[in-house]
Amino acid sequence: MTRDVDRRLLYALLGACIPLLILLLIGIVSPPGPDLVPTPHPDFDPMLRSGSGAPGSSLLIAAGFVTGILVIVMIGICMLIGVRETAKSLRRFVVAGTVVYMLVFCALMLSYLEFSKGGPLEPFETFGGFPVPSAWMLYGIWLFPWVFIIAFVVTFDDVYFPPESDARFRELLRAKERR
Amino acid sequence: MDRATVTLASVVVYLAICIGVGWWAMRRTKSSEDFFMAGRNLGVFLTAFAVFSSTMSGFGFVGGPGLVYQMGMSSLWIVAATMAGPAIMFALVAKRVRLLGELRDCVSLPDVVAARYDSEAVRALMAAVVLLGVMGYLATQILAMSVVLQDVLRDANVFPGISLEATVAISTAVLVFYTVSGGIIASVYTDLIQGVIMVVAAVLVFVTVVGTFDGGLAEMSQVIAADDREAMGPWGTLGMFGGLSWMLVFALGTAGQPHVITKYMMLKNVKDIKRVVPLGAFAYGVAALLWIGLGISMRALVLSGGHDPLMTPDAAASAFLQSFAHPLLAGVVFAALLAAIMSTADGFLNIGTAAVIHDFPVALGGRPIQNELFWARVTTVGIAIVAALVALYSGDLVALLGAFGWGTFAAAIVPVVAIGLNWKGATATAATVAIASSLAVNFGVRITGVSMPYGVDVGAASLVVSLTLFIGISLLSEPDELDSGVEAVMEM
Repeated sequence: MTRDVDRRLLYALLGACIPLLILLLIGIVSPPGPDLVPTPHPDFDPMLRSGSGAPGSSLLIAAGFVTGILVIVMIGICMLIGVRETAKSLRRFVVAGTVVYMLVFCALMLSYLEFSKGGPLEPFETFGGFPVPSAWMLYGIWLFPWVFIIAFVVTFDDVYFPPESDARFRELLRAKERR
Repeated sequence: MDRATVTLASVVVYLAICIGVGWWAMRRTKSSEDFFMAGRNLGVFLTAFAVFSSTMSGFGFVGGPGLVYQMGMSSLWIVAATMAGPAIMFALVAKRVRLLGELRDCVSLPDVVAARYDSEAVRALMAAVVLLGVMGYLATQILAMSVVLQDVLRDANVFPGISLEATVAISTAVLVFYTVSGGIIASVYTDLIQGVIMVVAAVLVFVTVVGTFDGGLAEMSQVIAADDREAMGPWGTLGMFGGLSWMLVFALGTAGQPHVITKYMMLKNVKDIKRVVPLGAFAYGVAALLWIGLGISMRALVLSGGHDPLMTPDAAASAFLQSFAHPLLAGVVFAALLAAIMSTADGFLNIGTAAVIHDFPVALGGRPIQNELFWARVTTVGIAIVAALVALYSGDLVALLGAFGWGTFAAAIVPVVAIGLNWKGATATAATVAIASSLAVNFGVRITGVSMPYGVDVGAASLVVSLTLFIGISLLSEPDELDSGVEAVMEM
């Protein structure tokens, strides 16, 4: 067999899936208490309010942190699976980008810990119209993957679909026509 | 003219444009490859807007703002995932599905998996997943389309007593006309028009939304947080596991939506992928402003006494438009809403027809049926009628099938197509098990009524299970022999 995906990436993807399944099983075995379940708003049903115990214990927040990191790792690995090993610079960029993406998520979690300490009427810092952790989510988690899209665009002709791939594909099409 | 008349006029003009495009596209549809693949001749803008319009369904314009009204920031994790989705689509799917599609003359996603795994069983299972998903999505889209049309006609006092059956008949007839006459060609050209309407409407609505409070979004945030601080935090009322599970299933799952993937197979030139992906992602990002802005403003308006409480979350969009938007803008957005619904529905109608008319006959009989184009048109009408009947009379079944949609597609297709087209060691057995597990977990959880803990999305759980099985079984098996052409495409 000729070139194929680095198996370590597949083991890594499997290694991200299994802890997520374990976390899910733990969640099924020990479901949230009633104070963590959203409830109908007393005045404006069907609007919901968060449970009185939200965001929950530090253990729960730690589990959420691990889940978020695993989700971002899965996104990064999936992109790497699509980038051939010969495209070393693009691979390094995707790895570095995934690490920065994880740091954005860490910043979200840290600012959330600060935000969740305040009471309902306590003022909070905003950025771009949103509380800081929500701003990290919208302006960071949402928009950061543009970095990957731009990287694929920039390297398109050299790495993603280089002239030799184009030529090889045309050759395959000609062979098909002949058949 | 009053607001209701302007809205009705906008909707009528929009529906007339759809019919006109169908009529025009009919003359360009001469073969089944034209009907299903637009002759593999689509340019950058058509494909980009077809991808974006197919992804942003009525859910994005009605359900999305409704979820923000109901849960606060939680559902914005779906939006947050929508830029990672195109990046994954770029890396894993777009190029390979385009190349393999042309090399093996594939007209559907089941064709692609049959070529990759050299397995008719995988083709048949994939066709079954596509057809089940199509029925669910199509029925819910037809129902949504009909409810909107009924509201518009009643408000304008044109047919105040019009029944839901009648609006189902009208809206399905328009949808069927342009998809039957012009196939996917009509579908993608209407997608372009629909996409432009959605982007324009989203920008105008977002500007209106920001103006509803003197302090703009920051003041809305303060109003919502004063009532429930968590609702305005990044996890909303649902909690962090719900949000993160949505991120997972919507980021990876974008590369698992058959009506979106097949659009890449229609591209004229593979090199256009570098323009299609960013353009589609940009259009989606702009359209998502409506989801974000409208939901937050309606929650803040109701909490601050600026608007009466809503009876249902899904009323958020229409309530805002009726109370705060200029009549012309309201008209454009209602047309955009129909556009969002129809652009998704037509794509589903097309891939459902391909499953029935092409994939099942090939999987079971070994060859396509004679006169595919004629039977494709007949089948399109049949599927639309069945979906309309399901929408009207199936009761809970429509909700069950509707909920089936995105997550099941993600769980069935991401491992088998997105990973499988890149990894030669992936086996047909693993693909079969992954597809079967996606059906079993999604239907099993919903039929048994088991509730997922901490707001975790069933689709995300199902995706992790199917990925685990797919990779695990493939790693433990001997790799299948690959066709040399398929292998060459996987190495490009």
